[in-house]
Amino acid sequence: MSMDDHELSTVLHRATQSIDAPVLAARALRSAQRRRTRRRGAAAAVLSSALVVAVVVATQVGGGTSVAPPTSPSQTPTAPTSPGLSRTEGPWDPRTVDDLPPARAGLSPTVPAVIDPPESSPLLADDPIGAAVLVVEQGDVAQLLGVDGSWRTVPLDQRYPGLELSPDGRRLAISYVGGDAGATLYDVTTGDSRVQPFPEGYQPFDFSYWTFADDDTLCLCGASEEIYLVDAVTGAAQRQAHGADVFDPDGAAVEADCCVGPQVLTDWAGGSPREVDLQLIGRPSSISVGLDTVAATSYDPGPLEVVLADRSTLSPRATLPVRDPQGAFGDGGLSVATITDDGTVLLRVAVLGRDGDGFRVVAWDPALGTLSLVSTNPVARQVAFADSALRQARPGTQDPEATTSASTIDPDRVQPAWDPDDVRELPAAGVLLPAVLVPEGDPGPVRGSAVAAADADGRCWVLGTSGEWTSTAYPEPELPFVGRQVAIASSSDVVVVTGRRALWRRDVSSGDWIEVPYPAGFRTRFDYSPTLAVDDDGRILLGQDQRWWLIDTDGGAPTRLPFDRFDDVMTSGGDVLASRFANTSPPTRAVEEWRSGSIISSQDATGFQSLQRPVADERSIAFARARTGYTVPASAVESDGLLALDRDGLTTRAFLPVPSRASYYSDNGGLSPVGWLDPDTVLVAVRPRSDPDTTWLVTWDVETGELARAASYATGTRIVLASVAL
Amino acid sequence: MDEQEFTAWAAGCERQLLRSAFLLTGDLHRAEDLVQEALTRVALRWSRLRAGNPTAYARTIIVRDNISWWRRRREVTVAEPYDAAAPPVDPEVALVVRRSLARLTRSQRAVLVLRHFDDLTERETAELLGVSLGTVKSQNAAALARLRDGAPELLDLIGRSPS
Repeated sequence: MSMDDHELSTVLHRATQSIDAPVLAARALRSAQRRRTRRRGAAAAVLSSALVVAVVVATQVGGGTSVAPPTSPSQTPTAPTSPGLSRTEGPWDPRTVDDLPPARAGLSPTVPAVIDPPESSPLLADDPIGAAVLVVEQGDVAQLLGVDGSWRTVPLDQRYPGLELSPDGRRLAISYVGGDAGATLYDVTTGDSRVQPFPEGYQPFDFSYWTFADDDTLCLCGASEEIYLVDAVTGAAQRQAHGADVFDPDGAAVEADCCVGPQVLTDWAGGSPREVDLQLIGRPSSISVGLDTVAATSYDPGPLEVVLADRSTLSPRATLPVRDPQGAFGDGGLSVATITDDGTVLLRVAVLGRDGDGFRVVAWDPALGTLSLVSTNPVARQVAFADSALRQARPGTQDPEATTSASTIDPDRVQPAWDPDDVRELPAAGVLLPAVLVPEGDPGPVRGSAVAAADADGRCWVLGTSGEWTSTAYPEPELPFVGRQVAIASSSDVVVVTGRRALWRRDVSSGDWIEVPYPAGFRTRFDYSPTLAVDDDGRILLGQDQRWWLIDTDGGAPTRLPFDRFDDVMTSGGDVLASRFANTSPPTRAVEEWRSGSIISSQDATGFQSLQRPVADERSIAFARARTGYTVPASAVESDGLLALDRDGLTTRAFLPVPSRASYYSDNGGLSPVGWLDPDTVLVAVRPRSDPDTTWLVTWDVETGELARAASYATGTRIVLASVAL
Repeated sequence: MDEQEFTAWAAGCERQLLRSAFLLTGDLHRAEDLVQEALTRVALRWSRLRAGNPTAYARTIIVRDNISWWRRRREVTVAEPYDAAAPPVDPEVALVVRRSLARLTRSQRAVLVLRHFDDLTERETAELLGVSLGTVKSQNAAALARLRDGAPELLDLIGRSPS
């Protein structure tokens, strides 16, 4: 019964022998160089601040009149500090872009989740639309998607068109590579079109291209030393003796030409150039400029990352490191699309390695460090967006005012601590459960209403109110125990299990299994049990890896929920509740409630520290709470334990401290709320440290703090409870 | 700094560090992140570390960063998710080891990996983790006991059966 050191060492080496030698040294060197640069920058900022203070003091002491130093229009700020920098933990791998949850409703709301133009649509000239969201190249036509969701066609004259929409989506410019006829300009609202010729004397060259500076101004760009701004109505052109890589929402040009000469960003807002050293964000491969911020993909020096920076100083506010071992994403595969009205950065991410998979539009929330999927272009083709459609972040669907301030446990609501090793000393609770739950009995339909379901001995068991267990075989060769999951509705009439090829739903009284297809993207696994729940309306909550779905078993399509692997998700009534964890620095937590695909409340729960395994009824929500501090708890409030909160406002109803070493109960699953038996009573599953082979069901009265023993079962048995009457 | 010298040192130890980090985390991507961060910090201090033991310094960073990351997250992982990027060779061994290590606490896991994979002495392990020698002994014993009792498939793998 032992293993010696050598044998164990051998196995550990075998388990890792195929891990190849990585090439991390070069990346580490680049990263170190970049950090040194930043440190020098920060030190320089401190030094310059000290010099400013010294000058002011000297001036005051001298009693003279201070004269502001002359400010050159091209003054380069020197390395400011980086207030509020937040960095997402670990680099993001864009190859996993399709694993991202969908973006919240209200972000770029007119941009479709999947860009899927019809084979044909009415001509724009015959049936104009109010404004376009995007335009797609499709063979010998371009198709415009209107803000009303309808499509229109514009014929293309040649191959290799350049498609551009004005920011408001009311104008479309089409030009052709190598063409010498200028651009064809369409008024989307009338269907009219005209040709905008090149300005007189202008010699087009290979890098000439048309874009929009603002809603009513075309820009002919390409050369670093000049651009032409063209009035979209009159056609009058005006030469500007500078370049433009991007325009801000007000139409001001911004240059980020760093291939030759000094690496500076030149900002033409206000009409005068203002240069800012690019060293704080690195050399950008794509850039978007908002009114106060700049978002860029930066690849030199250091690994690829997305940076959100202050526009005036380029001081980074947040960064998103990106895994790019092959350099494909830094080489145009990942670019910044825009900065939305609520500060989210939208990225355009190519799907590499598979022909025809197009690109994805991904939302990066720099404040939370979260990523989500806005739109999928499943086919390799040209798509141009109206910037205002992308930028729109509709208020109300995630109302910032609905987010409350950080909450903490109310010390007045803390109850006496409890040690689960004393569970046998608790009084018996008066619940409709046998004292010991042992699934055994005859096959057949349940007698009476169902109280619990169990997964044991390769069969699905249901416990009736008669106290008898009945069982049925699984409908297909079952998954191994680890990959399987069972759920029963609290209304007790539906049992759901996971199978190899599908979910299976059984009406407890009828005994027939009905196949429910897995949602697209779900993969059956043999080493990981998914999260599974079914609500009283028969909707199934399914969670695995970073994906969550809500499946309507009455035939509705599965709804992908915007949560990931660190979130705890549950259904309550018609709502979906989630305890969301954002692995930012510092980490944050929020309790969110969703209804019909939209968020209806988001309440900051960071102050409660780690909240796990929520259960809710209409009024309250209960969690296993784990403290995240390192110090010895100074008070009971800092303990692990059970926490009951009002859903409205997250005010403390009660906190039952359950202290333990190494967070055995809260973090290791030894203490889990199971459900609300009535508005004041939570049923809790407890695995005492002194006897982990037995799991006890305990009732907790959150008002009085009274605890009582309801039942027990062998820990290896998977038992889920339906309605349990007190 | 002498980049060639640093690169030569890193080339000699990064695979071992990565394998060790993989055993600590069960996640190859996270293991790479840990190793890269450790190498970066060694690079920043290379002039001071080069004459000493930069590998020990890197290993210390990996272990402590992993523990502090886990403490920050403080979430339950009932079963560690399968990592698509995990090594495909000898998958049965990899899976059994992965599941077995998942049964250990983080500190037990760290002690086990440092003692039995990185081949550190008890004293070296104690210094690296910042704990007493007695703690290393007890954590190691507890880890082995838990594997014996809770991971019979590991014993099967090395040709023994639990009694």
